[in-house]
Amino acid sequence: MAYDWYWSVIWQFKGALLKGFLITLELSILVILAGTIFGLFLALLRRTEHPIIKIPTVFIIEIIKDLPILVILIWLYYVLLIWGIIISGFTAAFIGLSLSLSAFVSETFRSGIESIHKGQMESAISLGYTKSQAMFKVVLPQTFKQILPNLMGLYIHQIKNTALASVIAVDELLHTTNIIISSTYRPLELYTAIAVIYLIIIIPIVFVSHYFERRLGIKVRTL
Amino acid sequence: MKQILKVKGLKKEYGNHQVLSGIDFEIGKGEIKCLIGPSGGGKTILLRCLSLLENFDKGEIFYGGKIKINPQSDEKDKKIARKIIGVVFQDFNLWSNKSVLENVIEPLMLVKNFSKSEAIKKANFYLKKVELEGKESSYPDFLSGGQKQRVAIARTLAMEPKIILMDEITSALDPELINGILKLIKRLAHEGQTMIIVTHHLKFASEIADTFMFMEGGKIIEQGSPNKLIYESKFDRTKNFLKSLFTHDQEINIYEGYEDFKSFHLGLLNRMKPKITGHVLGAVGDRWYECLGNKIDEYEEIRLKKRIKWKMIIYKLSQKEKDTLKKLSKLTDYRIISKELEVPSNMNIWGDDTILLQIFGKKPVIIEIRNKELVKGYLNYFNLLWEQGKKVSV
Repeated sequence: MAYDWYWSVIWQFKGALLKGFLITLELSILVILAGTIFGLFLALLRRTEHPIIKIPTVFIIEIIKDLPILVILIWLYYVLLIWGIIISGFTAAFIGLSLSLSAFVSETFRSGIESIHKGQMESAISLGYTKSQAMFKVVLPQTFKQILPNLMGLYIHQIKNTALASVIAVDELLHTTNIIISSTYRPLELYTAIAVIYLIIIIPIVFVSHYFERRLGIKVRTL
Repeated sequence: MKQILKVKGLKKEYGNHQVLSGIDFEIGKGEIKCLIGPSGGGKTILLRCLSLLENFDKGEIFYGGKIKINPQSDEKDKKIARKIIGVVFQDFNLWSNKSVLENVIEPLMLVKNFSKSEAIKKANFYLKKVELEGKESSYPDFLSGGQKQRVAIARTLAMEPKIILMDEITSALDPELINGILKLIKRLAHEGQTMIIVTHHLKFASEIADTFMFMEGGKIIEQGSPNKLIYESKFDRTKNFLKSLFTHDQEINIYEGYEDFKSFHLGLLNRMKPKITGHVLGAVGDRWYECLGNKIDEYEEIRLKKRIKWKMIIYKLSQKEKDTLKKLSKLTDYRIISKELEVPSNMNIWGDDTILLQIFGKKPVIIEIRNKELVKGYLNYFNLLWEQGKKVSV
């Protein structure tokens, strides 16, 4: 059975698709920024020796990590509503995706920090650095280099997860596409189109991450 | 002497195990202490406690005569105390993502608030001092172990600490690089840098240290001048440990002055196996006894106890030598030969590896050569002359 491809439908809805693309991009960027910063914060909290800070942090990280992202998004969007807290789909998606990213980012930072020889920190402290100066000036720059490939993997994963936001009515790519399909009945063309759009977002990130890995690696060896 | 560091009753435990059980000592400006002792004796932990990288359970440490740190002290006080000390680590701990210059200038800018140009000026001065000019823009991964340790030393020196703690700073280095670092440390010692050094290079240590501290089982068993510990230690543990380090094939040591003379001769007897013979060519008579002073009784006691023999080729018998012969007749044998051999020095052959030249000028000087091949050769000479000598009996 021959299928009549009708590609012009994409052009017809280019405005809506572009808007969806921009929302996906915006959500991705915000989630990556917030997730990284909050993840680093969680990693540092987890390293403190204070049990009052450490134990709840471990608990929060574990819960966020173990829950499906879809469940987190739906819970934030609908359950908070019952308690009178009204947040937009975009905000719920931003919070949920950021939280889930931060849990994984914090674990990545933790293993990265632990992989840096403790002598690096000790030499800084013995030279008169405070603990946080030693962490931010000496340990984290080295950690960052070490974990960059893992971090990029997590980012790419989370960009793909933004599609889950469609279930809570965020007008990102997938949701926009579903709406268009419901009036045009052209799912194959439109799903193919957004597949290409996701690739357009993600492939440059893969290249950038390779570029950074190479550059950071080379710097140590040649200079 | 201005006090730089004072440690009082320092204790540290891991569970039930006492890793430091009551350490007391103090160190003054310009003083150099070498911490020696077997591995696991607590040397490294002690240095880590002094540099405040490790907490301790009891006791107190005074830094620069002013700042007191005890187990309850907060991070603020510790930070002030840390400015007085500098640490050089066994495995360098250079920051591998930063160039040599950055390694040295960053602490200056961050901790001492230097401007970048001031910091670079200071860094260049100290990098020159450790002979690393031209390596400023290199990264640590591209340096040899010796060069890395030099950077680490320059980084510590640049902060101008009052005292530097060094923990086996040559033990991660290839053998051919060790001497360069030891020379550098010697130079710092001559410049009056106060230091506490953990090392297994005993010869190096005895050349620069004012004090040896022998540590075992978390305690300082004994401390004193290097020669006192090497030659006169009352503790078997110290003696055995030092003996185990003195296993080089060849070694030349020079001892000068009356104190060294006494401690050397007592130490020599202590080190020798029982029943060996000390061969002496050209005795200098009473002058030798004079130099040994009040230690002669102790000397003869050890000789008697260990049945150590004297065989001496002399040109005339002095009164004191006669006394010795009477007292230790079974252990003393003299042969007299021609008077033309009279010089104010003599040569000894002890055991199977030690040759001494003793020169009795204004101050006595002993040159000790440790070499088994030489001993064999000189013993043949000695025996030839021995045959020609005339036996002395009382």
